[in-house]
Amino acid sequence: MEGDMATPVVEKEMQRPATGRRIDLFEKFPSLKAFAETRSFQFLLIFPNFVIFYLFMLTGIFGNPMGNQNITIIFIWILWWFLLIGVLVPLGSRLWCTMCPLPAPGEWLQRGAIIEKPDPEKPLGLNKPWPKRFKNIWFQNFGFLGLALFSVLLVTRPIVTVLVVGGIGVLATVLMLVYQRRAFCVYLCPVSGFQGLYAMFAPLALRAIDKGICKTHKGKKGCFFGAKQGDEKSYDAYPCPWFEYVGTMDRNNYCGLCMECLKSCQKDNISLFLRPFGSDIRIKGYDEAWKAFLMAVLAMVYSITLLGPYGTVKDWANVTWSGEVRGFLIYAGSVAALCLLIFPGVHLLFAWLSKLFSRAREIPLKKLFVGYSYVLVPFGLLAWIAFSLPLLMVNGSYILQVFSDPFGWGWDLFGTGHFPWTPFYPDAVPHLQVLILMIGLVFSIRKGYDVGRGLFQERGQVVRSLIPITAYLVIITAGFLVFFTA
Amino acid sequence: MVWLDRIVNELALLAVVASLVLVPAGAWYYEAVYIPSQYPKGAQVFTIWWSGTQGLTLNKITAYNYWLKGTDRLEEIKVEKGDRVVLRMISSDVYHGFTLPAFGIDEVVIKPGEVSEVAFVADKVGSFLFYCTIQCGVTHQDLKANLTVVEPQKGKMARAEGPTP
Repeated sequence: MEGDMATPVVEKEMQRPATGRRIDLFEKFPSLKAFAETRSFQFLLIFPNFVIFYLFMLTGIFGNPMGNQNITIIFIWILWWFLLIGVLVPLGSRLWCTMCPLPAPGEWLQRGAIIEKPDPEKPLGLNKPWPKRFKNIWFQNFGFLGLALFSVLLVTRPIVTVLVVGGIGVLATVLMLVYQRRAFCVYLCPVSGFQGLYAMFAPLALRAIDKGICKTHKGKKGCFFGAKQGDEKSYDAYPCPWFEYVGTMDRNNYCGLCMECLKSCQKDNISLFLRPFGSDIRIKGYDEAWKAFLMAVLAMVYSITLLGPYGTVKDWANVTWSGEVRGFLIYAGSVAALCLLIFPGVHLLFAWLSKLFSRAREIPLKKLFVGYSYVLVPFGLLAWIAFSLPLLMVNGSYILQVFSDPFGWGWDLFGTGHFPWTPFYPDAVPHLQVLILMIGLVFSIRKGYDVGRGLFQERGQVVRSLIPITAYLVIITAGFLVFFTA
Repeated sequence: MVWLDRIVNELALLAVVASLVLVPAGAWYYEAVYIPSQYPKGAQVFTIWWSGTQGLTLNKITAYNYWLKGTDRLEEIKVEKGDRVVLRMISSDVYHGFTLPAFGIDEVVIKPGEVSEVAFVADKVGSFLFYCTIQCGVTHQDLKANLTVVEPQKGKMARAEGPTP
């Protein structure tokens, strides 16, 4: 995240006219802007989720122990997960962060208010700055990997889900009282990490309307430092909880779409835009590159342990059921090695081949290694969608069941409590998965070309460098196809 | 939209606190008040939880006690002769089968996530075994308990004898 890998792509993006290839949503829908500018905007999105997740915590503790009878498992790991990875992130960037209830109590305590009375000068808590050496997403990488190793327990046992989701909420609350703003969300939250990476793909983006205005704006920037009524601004607003300065922000990665900056910008120079998919193509450092590796590998691992017919691996992953501690250690060690060493090693090999093929000796290998890790962003996201789709199609009917019987106590609140398990066109699943993967492959190759254009001077170098990268993507796709169609 | 801010600002804290109270209160009311009110007055209603690993219990088998704490086993249900008995049975894991031969009740399938009910009048005195008829798990052999019917004792309420410690 903190890597300083400025590439020509960035310069090109900066030079692109602010109005080019994007639709200003606030200009088109002024009522949307008026709503986003209200102080109650975020609370109104958070509150329903706060109630729902509170219910999930209760059902996860007091409800039926079986995952398919408990709304906690069905709604979080089938419905919410699919909506997050299949809809919210690919279309809406970090919209989930806008409405996420987990850090909300901490933020309310930190501010000493749920909605009004913003006094950025006097936050509650210790208000410490996040340590500089940890201003990256390595914690998020390791956190997500750690959770992933126990994914089989996490997605089948309500109490484990409560411990993890509730634990995230408690940790967020504590850290909000220690560190400034949303340091937890930016640097620690394991869900935030992959959302940031895949938000690069999303067509929704909050940006400055004209960066030139930001450049010439002298004085305290309201979007970063917050603003008070009468301070050239008619709205109260907190400093950017995500530590972003919109004037230079050119990627979606760390913008939580909370709309504080919209309220505080003295120049009314911020808007929400629709733009082509995959418009942000710059990976900034090793931490982000490793996030891309990790997510790609884990999509494959999940496909094996949760969807595949590999009984032994499932037993190893499901250690508390099978009791195979040795098997679990082999499984966990293999997954960690794949994510952290083997897959990055393969990526390095192909980055090196890319350099060799390009015949551009002057370009540092590091630049190719990090830059081309972007191809795993659209591909990884679509691989996750391909993995998540069957969860919804095959087990989606449980949603109706637990909707009427959230605790699994035999209730029938809405008449759907006895809805039978009915897979939705299960035969179509592998076909859809192949289609999604193919879209991911083609899109990633296309985006790889854009990345290459930012890395190399000549078009010929770009095309030649893409040959190994294309082969690399094809090999990964083939791997996924084997597991999806096994 | 200043009006929206004004309204929401006034109600936000109340809404948060109310939700913290009302969500569990609503669930408790439905389970502990509404459902029992659906049965005839005077009926002896017992909810028995079935589990292939935990056995039979009158304590609700929850995600918490199933995986972490364990539950107390049911050994006997005691009613008085003439009582109308309703057994509500819920499986917390797999299919089970209930039989109470002494009262002619044979193989009632207990599906996970559904309430299976049997209702009868305890018209004879004695201790009668009921048990699981489907090979369900490691404790299948232990999925049994007694229905004890005693002579009516005036002024005393029939009650469920629970578990031994």
